[in-house]
Amino acid sequence: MFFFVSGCSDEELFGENVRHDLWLIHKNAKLPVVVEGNSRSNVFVILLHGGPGSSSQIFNSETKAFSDPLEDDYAMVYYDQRNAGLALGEWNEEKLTIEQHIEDLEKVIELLQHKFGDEIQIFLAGHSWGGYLGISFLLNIENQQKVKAWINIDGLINRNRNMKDVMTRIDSIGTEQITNNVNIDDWKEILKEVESERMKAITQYSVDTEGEIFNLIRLAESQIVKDNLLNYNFNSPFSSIHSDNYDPFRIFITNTGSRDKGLREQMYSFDSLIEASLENIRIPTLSIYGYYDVKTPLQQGEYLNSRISTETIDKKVVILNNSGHSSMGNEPVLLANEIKTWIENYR
Amino acid sequence: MKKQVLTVILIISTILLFGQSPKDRDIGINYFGELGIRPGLEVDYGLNFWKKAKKGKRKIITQQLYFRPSFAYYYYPHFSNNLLLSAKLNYRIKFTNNKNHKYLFAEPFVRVGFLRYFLVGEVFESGNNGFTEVNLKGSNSIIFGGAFDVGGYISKKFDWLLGFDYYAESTEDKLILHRFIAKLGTRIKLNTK
Repeated sequence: MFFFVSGCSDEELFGENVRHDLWLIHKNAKLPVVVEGNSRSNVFVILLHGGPGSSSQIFNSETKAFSDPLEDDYAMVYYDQRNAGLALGEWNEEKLTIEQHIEDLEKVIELLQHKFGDEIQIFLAGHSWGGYLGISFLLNIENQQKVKAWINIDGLINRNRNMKDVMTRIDSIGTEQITNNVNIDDWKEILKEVESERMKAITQYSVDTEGEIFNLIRLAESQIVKDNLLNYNFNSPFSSIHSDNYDPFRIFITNTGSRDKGLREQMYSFDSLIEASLENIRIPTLSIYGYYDVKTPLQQGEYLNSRISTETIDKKVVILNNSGHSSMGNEPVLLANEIKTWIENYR
Repeated sequence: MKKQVLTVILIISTILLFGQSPKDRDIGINYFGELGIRPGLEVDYGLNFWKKAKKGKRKIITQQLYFRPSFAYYYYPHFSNNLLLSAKLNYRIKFTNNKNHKYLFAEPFVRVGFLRYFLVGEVFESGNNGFTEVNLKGSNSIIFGGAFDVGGYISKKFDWLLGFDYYAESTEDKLILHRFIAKLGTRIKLNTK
């Protein structure tokens, strides 16, 4: 009466166009780990998604112009973090900690080595909160030895510092637009809001005080869109649902502010550890930021670059001129090319 | 979860035992697509237990209440195989043309059931000594929801059916997930005059 459609394909383990649907069950979480692309290259790029609460599968469905060229050359690893995206398993907020996320990532790397062998070369990339998770993972020197290089895409590095960087960046973009005679009144209004937030002289932000900054981000982002400053290259959600294991409803449900509040709180207390330990990072580090990113502005990349101990030749910050916070969808080809060039240097 | 599963089985068994009526039995076979495009199949069985007809000049309006035990399978590509055992309580209002006996009907319903999913792909469980492969691992959910079907006459033996279904999936993982289903199918009447 019914039939099972099996996902266990006969595809070879190493090929130029393979897909492996893996699940990692660890501490009661069921984490989808999709490996797609050219595994024959022996280069595996793990993509850490943002949020917290989003999904890595979005990169593989809504921003194919970014992921497809990378899949041509490498095996891309789309893994959804616990309590996020398409992950299943026990919904346990006690396990929703930065430390647990780091441990999960360690397990994902172990699983890839278990499945594909110890000889594979692993590159780590993270977007937004994925940048924060990536850097937190790399604070452990043993973890640095597991990856060939780190690619930080619009990554959050220090949450408290970021709140101030947001205001600085909105100021710069607003001033630039006013100088260029673009929507002067709107930008003046936004800059006034920034100034009034700055007048509060908050030195240490928290989950309770960051709300106004998010309002500023929303205001500035919608003005940036209104001013046509960004490029767009996203696939439609329908084609994503149709051709990929993409579930907007599940992702929407798990990506709720109330559930990631705990993680946001932890980030503030984790900041001091990051601040104190960034100099322990010595691996090649590429930071890529959108010029119009007001959520995690380019100052976060400059801060990272100035604090890590990686040799100068092995670290750089790239700015994408027509991107906001979603550079995968704003300038996907440029972004993919930057990543490729970086990987080729270190593989 | 065991108690909930037993409750669902009890409901369905009760329906099968007491919902039997010699008339108006049918089997439905439907395409059962989550979000319309994730392929699946539903087979259900209609058991009438209340019916009232009112004859007008041009049409007969019939109201019915009946149970529909249902079994469905659908596939979520790269993700899961899903088996759904459920019971529906349907209210049907049918408009039959007096002359040619053709009809159209609308049918709101509520559904409660049990869903078992099996993960697609290679499933690895971490342990002290590395990883163990535990393929076909899955989980159970209780579902509850309902929606709306419409249908009509094709022949003495067959009806057509178009439907939309919503149900919330309360998982062992303590998540409430929302499912939207589109259906297209036929009903085969088992006792035609």
